[in-house]
Amino acid sequence: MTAIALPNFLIISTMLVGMVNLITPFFTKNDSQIRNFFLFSVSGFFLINILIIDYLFINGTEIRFTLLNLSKYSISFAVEPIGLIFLTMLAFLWIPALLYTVKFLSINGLVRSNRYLFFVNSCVLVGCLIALSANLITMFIWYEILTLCTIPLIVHDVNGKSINGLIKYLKILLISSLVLFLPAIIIIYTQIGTGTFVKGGFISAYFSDKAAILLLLAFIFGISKAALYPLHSWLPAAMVASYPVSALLHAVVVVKTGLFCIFKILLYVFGLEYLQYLFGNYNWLIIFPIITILYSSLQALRYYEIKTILAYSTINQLSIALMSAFLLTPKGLAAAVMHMVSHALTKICLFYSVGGFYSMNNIYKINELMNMKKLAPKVSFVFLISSLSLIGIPPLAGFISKFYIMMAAAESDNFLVMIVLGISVLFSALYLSKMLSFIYSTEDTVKTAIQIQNNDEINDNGEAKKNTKKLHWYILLSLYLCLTGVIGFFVVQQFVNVLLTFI
Amino acid sequence: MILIKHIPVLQVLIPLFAALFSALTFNKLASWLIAVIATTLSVLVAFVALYNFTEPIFYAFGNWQAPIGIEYRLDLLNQPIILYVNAVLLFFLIFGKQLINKTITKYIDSRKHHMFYSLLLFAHAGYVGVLSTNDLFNIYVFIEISSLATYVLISKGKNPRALVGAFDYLMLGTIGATLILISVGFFFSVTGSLNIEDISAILEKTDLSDQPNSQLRIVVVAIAFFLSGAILKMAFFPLHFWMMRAYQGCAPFILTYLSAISSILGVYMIMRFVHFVIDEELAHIPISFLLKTIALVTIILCSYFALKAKNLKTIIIYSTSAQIGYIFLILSLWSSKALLFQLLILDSINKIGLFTLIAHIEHKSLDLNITSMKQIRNSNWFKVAAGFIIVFSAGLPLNGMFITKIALFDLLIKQGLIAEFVVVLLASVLGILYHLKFAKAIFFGKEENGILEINTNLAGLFAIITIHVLTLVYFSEITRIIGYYIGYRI
Amino acid sequence: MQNLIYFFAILVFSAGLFVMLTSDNYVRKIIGLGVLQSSVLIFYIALGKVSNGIVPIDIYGKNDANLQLFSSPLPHVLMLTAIVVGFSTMSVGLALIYQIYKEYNTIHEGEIAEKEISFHDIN
Repeated sequence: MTAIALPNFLIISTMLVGMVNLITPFFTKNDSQIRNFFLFSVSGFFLINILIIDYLFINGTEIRFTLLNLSKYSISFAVEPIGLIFLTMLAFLWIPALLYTVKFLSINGLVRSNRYLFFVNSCVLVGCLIALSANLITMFIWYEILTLCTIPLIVHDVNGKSINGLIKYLKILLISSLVLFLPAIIIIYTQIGTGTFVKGGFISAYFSDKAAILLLLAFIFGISKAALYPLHSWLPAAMVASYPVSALLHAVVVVKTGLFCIFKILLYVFGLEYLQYLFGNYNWLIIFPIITILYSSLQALRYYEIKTILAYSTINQLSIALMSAFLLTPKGLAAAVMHMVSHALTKICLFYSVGGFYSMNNIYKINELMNMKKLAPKVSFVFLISSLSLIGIPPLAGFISKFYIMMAAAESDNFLVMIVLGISVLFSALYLSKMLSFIYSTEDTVKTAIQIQNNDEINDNGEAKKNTKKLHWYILLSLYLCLTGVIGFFVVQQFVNVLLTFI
Repeated sequence: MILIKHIPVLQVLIPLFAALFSALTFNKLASWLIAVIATTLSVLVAFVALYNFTEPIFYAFGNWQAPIGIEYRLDLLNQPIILYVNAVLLFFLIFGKQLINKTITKYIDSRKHHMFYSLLLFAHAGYVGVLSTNDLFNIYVFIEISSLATYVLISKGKNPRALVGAFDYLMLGTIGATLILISVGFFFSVTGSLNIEDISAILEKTDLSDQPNSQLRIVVVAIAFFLSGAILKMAFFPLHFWMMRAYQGCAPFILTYLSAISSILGVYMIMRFVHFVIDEELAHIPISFLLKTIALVTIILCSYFALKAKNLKTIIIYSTSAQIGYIFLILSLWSSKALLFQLLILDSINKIGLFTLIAHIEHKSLDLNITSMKQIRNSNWFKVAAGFIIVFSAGLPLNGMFITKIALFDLLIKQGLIAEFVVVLLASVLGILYHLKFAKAIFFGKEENGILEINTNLAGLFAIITIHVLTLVYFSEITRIIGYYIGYRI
Repeated sequence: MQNLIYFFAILVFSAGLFVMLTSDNYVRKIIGLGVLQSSVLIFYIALGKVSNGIVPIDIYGKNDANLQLFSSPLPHVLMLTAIVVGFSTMSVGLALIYQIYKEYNTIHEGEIAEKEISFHDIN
């Protein structure tokens, strides 16, 4: 095999192996050892392959191939730095996700687990395909398919609330991508004849300034998975899903896809220099994320359901990443990518730990979090560390990425960004410490907690065991894995930096 | 081989004789078998004709040459459509046997079940006749033959309202056909001939020099009568109201065959008329403006009505009308025929899929109203198939519909038609919304309305999905072939 | 003056159309259908008439003396077909009316519509 064919083959074979994970749930029994063994070994193998591809890329190999070709439009894949970062992140997070999901399903008695696992795995794989896409139309196709794959997961538990949430979710995502994202792509294709990503961007030669700005706005709002105000309401609506779904998809895969698409478009379709020229006088582009940050911070303080708070916090962090990217400098974009990775790790920890609380005690609101420290000390510890990371306390992940953003903002003398970043840190501290205070509550509230426990034991005899459910060690293992990511982010960011130098 | 010379007439005669034979066997299974054999033969014959195609075949009946005798013409405009129509009938017969037995023939007196297949074949012979003929009056005759059989086919179903709907269809269909007949009379009075090629030759000659004014006026009147008759008969918007009422009552499964064919037939008739009978230049400007306006209004209004509809069947019917609007839009652009045929074929495959879905549901419960629809439970394969078909029909990525939509946007932007582009975009949005409504009703019915299970044979649905996937995989091939054919013809 | 017959044909056409579209009774609609088709017959046959032309029957045999003008027989032939088509349409229509009568016990469109509404109210 020639030198070029081998890496192509590697990617294709990796994807095919990953697809084995799609089929195994259907042939094995619920929560059996065989199924778990297959799932973990395949995803572990997948991760190793991705690391090999990273290594090959760093040493200079080019990978690019085309699947289907229809005149101007073609489905083709290529490897490039940001995509690789996203891909590695997904591959790394797949293992703890599977660990957690498998046991969550069995503890909470969710039925049709094979269908559930199928769609979770397909979402991760589609996310990997998006990371590898080489032109605009490929990215769009897999973007839409990702939306479709999340549908059965949101309504896995069919009731009126989830159906309404699903309809709202679908309406916003599908319509915005159809009305804004797709026409922008088609206009580019008709005008230029190709949409392949090129280093340094290719739009400047073909469109006037005004048209380019309009296209940029269409892309930014059309990619509503990045949840800019006012197209953000799909995210709270999608929180009717169960915890593994909310965690993996709506905090990691789906929203990071949105961010990733915007980054790629900024970098490879428009090109940073052209953008700086367009927004030279006054960078009014950052106003959009800033509005979103302020809005979501205020909203997060309003609600009492845990998932809603976390949803708004996600919107907050996404807009922080977008704000950094919209600084339109290479450092700003690099900081945004770093934040993308760190937030993924942090949010997954948060969601998974709250999911652990839910499995033990069926918790929906903040005040039910009382006295969790006694019932689940390890999980509460994970929650503590990850919320500290989200706020931005050194030396955790959140601090490192926010530090990079501050540096990038300082370099371009953008005081507005620094101030808003500070405000957002303040607000996240507020709502997170509210939750923390409930968990680590003091003695006099313990009595009320015990009363609640006793009532439950008296009322439902059959479900008396609910309060004393133990979490399977898989769940704890997955939490610890993610936690190491958070704590050891310094190591992670070295790795990310290496790849970023290739831009 | 001798038979190859007679292919044009064979394509009409095989269904016709099969219809007679299956009317003579008083056994349901035997007549179904005869129908299947006849349709398979027709598919083979049509395929052979297409494969050996070199130049248009003219077949004069009884050796009376045109313009005195009646003549059939097979060229690249109608031969592929004939092949497709035969294939649709074959699909309908093979995969629909169980559904036909349960939803349609159950309501017919059991001694007369074989008549259903016989009528189906008569209708089919009529449709193929419309497609193959080169004589204007012959078009009218075959339209009436197929319509008569269709009126009866529509009239049987679970809901007795089907009879009233069929009667309405009879009334208005006959008015449409009569308008076409009057238009043929006008053409006859101007040119003295009934043969399409002869008429176009004569019209070309006299229009410019001899008697410009009066000739021109009669021809314009004739064109107007023909087009209004065709639009009324095929129920294109804005003359579609009778079709809503007629299709409401009838069994959904028969609509798989009928609606798939009637729209293709309508477009074929208009294209044949516009390209071959009258001079394109004459009709170009006023017709294209008229078509474009009708098309835009159709697209928006029908999508809006589909959104507001309360019944699943109504949603599909309005969605069909909206697709016809897209076809009119492309027709009025005059430049991209390949896209037109792609859209037609994909649209009719979609409709077959959707109507089959509804037929499965209707078999169990009469009520297709969205708010009071029963919940579907435990029919997992049905749900999977339904999911696929709805996704394919909505134009979401990775299927032929999506690619066609992109090509349509492409075309509109290239020609700089911004208003049309916005309209089509809006209609796509409405399309997604009513598909969501459809999906919600199928997947998430309310439990208090009752429960039903779908346990009929689902082979047909999976065949449709396979066809969709095949059209996607071979899309570039199909485009190339169609483009080659269209370029060849015009 | 020669075109008066065409006005007459249009008159009959409108009359038939009016009866078809506005009557409540189904049998009357079929009658209107028949009238509509008769108007087309008038139209075509009038097209075929040539002034000073005689009936198109070959009275010469092999003899070519004194050629006369014939009216065109073609519209008559076409209209034979149209009459047959009209007749079969009317018979299908009547059969449908019979089935409707068996089902609803009435052939008035208004009454059937009311029965339909009550059918839906009950279900």
